[in-house]
Amino acid sequence: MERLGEGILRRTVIWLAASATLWFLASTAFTLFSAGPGAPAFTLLALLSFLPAFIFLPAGKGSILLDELRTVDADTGIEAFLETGEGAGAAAGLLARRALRLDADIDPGKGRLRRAFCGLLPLIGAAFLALALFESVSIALDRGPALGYRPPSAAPGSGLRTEELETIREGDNYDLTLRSQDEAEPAEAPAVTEAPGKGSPRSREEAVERAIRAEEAEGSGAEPGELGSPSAGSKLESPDADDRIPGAGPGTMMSREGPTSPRGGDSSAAGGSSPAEKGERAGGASQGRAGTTAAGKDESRKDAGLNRAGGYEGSAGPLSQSPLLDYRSRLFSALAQGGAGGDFAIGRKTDAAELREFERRFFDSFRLDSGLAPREDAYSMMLKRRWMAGGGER
Amino acid sequence: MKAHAPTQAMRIALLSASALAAGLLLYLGAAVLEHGLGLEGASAVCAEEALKTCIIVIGSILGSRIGPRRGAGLMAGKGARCGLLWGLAAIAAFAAIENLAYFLAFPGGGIFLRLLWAEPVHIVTGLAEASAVGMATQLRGAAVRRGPSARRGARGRPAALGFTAALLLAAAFSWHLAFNLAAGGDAGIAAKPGPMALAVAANAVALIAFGRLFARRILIGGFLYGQR
Repeated sequence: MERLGEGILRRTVIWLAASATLWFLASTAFTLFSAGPGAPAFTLLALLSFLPAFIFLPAGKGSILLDELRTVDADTGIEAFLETGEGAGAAAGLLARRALRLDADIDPGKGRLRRAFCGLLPLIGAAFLALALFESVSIALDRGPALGYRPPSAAPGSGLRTEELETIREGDNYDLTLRSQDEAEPAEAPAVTEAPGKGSPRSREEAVERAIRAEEAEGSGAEPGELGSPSAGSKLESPDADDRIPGAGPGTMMSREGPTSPRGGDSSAAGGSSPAEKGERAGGASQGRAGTTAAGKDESRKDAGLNRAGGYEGSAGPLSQSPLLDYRSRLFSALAQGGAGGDFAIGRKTDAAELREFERRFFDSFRLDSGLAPREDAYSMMLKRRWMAGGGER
Repeated sequence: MKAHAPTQAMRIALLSASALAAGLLLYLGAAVLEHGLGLEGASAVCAEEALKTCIIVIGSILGSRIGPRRGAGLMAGKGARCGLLWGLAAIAAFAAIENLAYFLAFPGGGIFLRLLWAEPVHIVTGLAEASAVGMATQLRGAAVRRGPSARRGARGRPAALGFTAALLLAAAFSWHLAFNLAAGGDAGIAAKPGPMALAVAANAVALIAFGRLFARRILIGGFLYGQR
C-alpha cells in the first residue's frame, strides 16, 4: 500500500507539472489571440477533470511491487513459488524463510520522496519555462503579471452590466429578462431623440403636418383612396404606423426597435428573443440552448448567459429539472440545430411552432387594426383633422 | 523474425488514446441510450452504470492483450488488473468528458462545483464496479488454475466473492442514484453549501473506502497481500 501511495503521489506530481505547463502555454496563446472568457475556464476544467483519468491510467513502467521483488529476488525463486502456489513441495519452507528475510530488508519508506520526484525535473522545468513565457508575453502586452489569462470581458468596465452579472449569479432568469427590457428603454432614448420623425413631440408634429398635407392634397384632387384605403388605414392606426412614415428610414427603425423589444423583429428568425420564449427557457432551466440559430447568435449567446446559473447541481439557483439525466440530449439537440437548422424543440411540452403561434396571438392582441371604409365621410375626416391639429396621438 | 515490442512511450500513448476513446464512446453510448429510450431517474442511472461495468469487463478481458506484462508467468493475472485500471481510466475520462460537455451546454463558473459533486460519484462507482469485476475475474482465474476439484473445495469462498461483487454493483448503482436524486430534486440541495460540503465529504470517504478495497483486494491481492 505504501508503494501504491507513492505511485499516486508521483502521478500527482507529474499531473501538476504537466497541467501547469499546459495552462501557461494555453494562457500565452489566449493572451496573444485574445480568446473569449470561456476558453480559460474550459482549459482549467479540462485539466482538473482529467486528473482521475491520469491517475488511473496503467501506463507505469510496470508493477512497483514486482520490480522491488525482482530486485531482491534476482533468481525469481520466490516468484516461482508464489506462482505455483500449493505445488511448491519441498522448496516451500526454504523459499518462505527466504521471503521473510527479504521482506525484513525492504524498507518501503526509504527514499520515498526521492523516488516520487525522480526523473521529473525536466517536466517541472518545462512548467517554469512556460510560466516565464506567459509572464513575458503578459508583461509585454501591458497586462501585468498574472497566473493565468484574464479575458477582457472579466475586467472592470468591460461592458457587462453589474445587474446582469448579479442576476446570473442568483440564477433569477425571469428577473433578468424583465430588467433587460427595462434597461433597453433608456438605451433607446438617445437614438429616438436624434432621429426626427420618431416618438418625440417634434416628430409627432411633423407627422401631423405630413398627414394634414396629405389630406389637403387629397382634398385638392389627389387620389382619395390613398389615405382611405384599408391598408393605409391600418398603417395609420397600427402600432407600427410611426415606423412606416416615409422618411423615417430603416436606421431609425432599427434604433427604435431595441434588441429586447417585443416587436424586435421576427422572433423565430432571431433565435427566440421574445419574452415568451425567454420565459419558456427560464422555466426550463436550460432550454435556452435549443433556440440557437445563425441569425440569432448574439441573442442566443446572451440567452445562454441567462441560463448559466441554473440547471445543474452546484449552481446558485434551484434546480427545476434533473439536468444530470437529460442534459446530453439537450446539448445534442442544440448542436444538431446549430449545424442543420430547421425545426427544433424549445422544450419538452412546447415546440417551436406552437410557441410562435402563441407569440403571434399574444402580440396580435395589442394590434389596433380596424377596418375602414374605402372612402371616409366628411365628418370623419374633419374629426381626424382636428384630432391631428390638436396634437392627438394616433 | 521476432516482432519488436512497443516502446514505453508508444505504450503510454496507446493506453491513453484508447482510454480516452473508450470514455468518449461510453459518453456517446450513454447519451444515445438515454436519449433514444427516454430514460430518466433510476433507469438512466442503471443504464449508465451498466455501460460503465461493460467497459471495465472489456478492459479486464483485453487486459491480457494490452497489458504490459502479458504472458509473463507470475503476472498472468496482471494483465487483467491492468485492464481493470484501463477501464477505470476510461470511466474517469467519461466523467471528464461529461463535465466538459456540461460546460459547453451551460457555460458558467458553477461547473467547478459540479466537478466536486459529480465526478467523484463516477470515480467511486467505477471503483466499486472494478472491484466487483476484479472479484469475478479472480473467481474465474481460480477455477481455471485449480480445476473442478479445487473449485468444489473452495465452494464457500466463491459464493462470498460473488455475493460481495453483487453487493458492490448494487452499492455503485445506489450511490449514483442517491446523488442524482439529491441533485435533481426540486429543493436543489446541491446548490446549498451545507449539502455540497456533505456530499464532498461523503464522496471522499467513499473514495478512500472503495479505493482501499480495490487496491488491497484487486491490485495487490493474491500477490504479496493475498490469501497466503
